[in-house]
Amino acid sequence: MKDTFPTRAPPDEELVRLAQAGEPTAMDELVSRHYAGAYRVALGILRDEEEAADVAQDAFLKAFRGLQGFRGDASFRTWLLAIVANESRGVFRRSGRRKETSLEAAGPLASDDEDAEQRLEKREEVARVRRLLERLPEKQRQSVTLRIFEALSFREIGALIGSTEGAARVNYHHGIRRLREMLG
Amino acid sequence: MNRLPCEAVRDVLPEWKAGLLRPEEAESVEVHLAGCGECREEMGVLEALLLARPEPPEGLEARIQAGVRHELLRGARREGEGRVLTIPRGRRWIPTWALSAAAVVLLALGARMILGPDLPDGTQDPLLVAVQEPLPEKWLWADGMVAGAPVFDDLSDEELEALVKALEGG
Repeated sequence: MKDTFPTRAPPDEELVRLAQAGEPTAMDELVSRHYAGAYRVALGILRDEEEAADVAQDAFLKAFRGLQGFRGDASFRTWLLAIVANESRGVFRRSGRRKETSLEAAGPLASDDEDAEQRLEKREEVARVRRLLERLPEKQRQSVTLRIFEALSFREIGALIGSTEGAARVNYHHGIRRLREMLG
Repeated sequence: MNRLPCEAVRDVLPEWKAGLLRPEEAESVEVHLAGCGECREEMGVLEALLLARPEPPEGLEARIQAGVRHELLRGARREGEGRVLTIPRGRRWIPTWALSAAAVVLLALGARMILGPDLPDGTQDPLLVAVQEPLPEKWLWADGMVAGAPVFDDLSDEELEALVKALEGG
C-alpha cells in the first residue's frame, strides 16, 4: 500500500543545509522562493529592470559561493536581501544616476479572468499608486515597499536601508499616512 | 470585544495579509478590523500597494537557477585542478599523471647522463628508483615545462610506456 503522508515544504534552514552540502535542487528551491523579493529590492534601489535582474542573479551567486560561511544568525532571506541591497548600491554608485520612470511601469500585472476594461482600469490604478509611491521621500518609500511587498520586519528593514529599527517604523507609518492622504 | 489598539493592529497588517500570523493573532486582527474604520482604510492602502507590487520579468527564475548551476560546475572544475592542469597558451588539458611520467623520464635521462649507462653490479638503476618514487606535483610548472623541458603531452599511455622501456634498454 502506498504511503499517504502529506508532503511538507522544507523550511529555508533545511534547504540551506542541503545547499551547503552541494545539493543543486535545494539551491533551485531557494532561488524559486526568493528571486522575486531579490529582484524587487534591487529594482527599488536601481529603478532599472534589467540592472535589477542582473543584480538579483549576481546576489544569488555570491550567496551560494559564501554559503559555507553562513551561520544562520539571520534568515537566509534577510542575508540574501542584504547582499542584494549592497550589490545594488554598488551598481548605483558606479552608474552614478537614478532612473525616474521605471518603477511606475515596472513588471507585468496579473490579469487572468479579467476583461479588457477591467485590465485597463487596474493598470491605471496600479500606475497611479506607483506614481504616488515615487513621491515619497526615499527612506519612507523603501520602508513602505519592503514592509508591504516583502513583509520584512522593521529590524530587517533598518538593517537593509541603513537605519535603526525605530526609524524604519517611523518612516513606514509616515509613508503610509501620506499615501492614505494622497489616495484620498 | 475590540481589545487591540490600532497601532498594534497596523503594525502587523502586512503579516496578517500574508497569512503569517498565528490563528489566534489573526482572529484578534479580524475582530479589530470589523469594528475600526480607520484601520480598514489603512488596510485598503496596503491592498492597493500589493496590487502595484512589481513582478520579476518572465524567465528570471530559470535564468538564475541556470546561472547558479553553471557556477557550481565551474567551482567543481576549479576543485579538480589538483588533478588536471591547464596550459594557458595551448589551451590544452593535461592529466598530471602524464606530467609526472614525463618528469620521471627526464630525471632518469639526466641521471643516466651523469652516472653513465653501465652501472656497477649491485647498484640500483636510477630509472627504477625514479619510477618507484613519483615526483611531487610542485615539480610541475604552470607553463607546461617540467624542470625546464617541454612535457610530452601528445603521448598516449602506450607511447609513454614504450618510451620508458626504450630508455631502460639504453
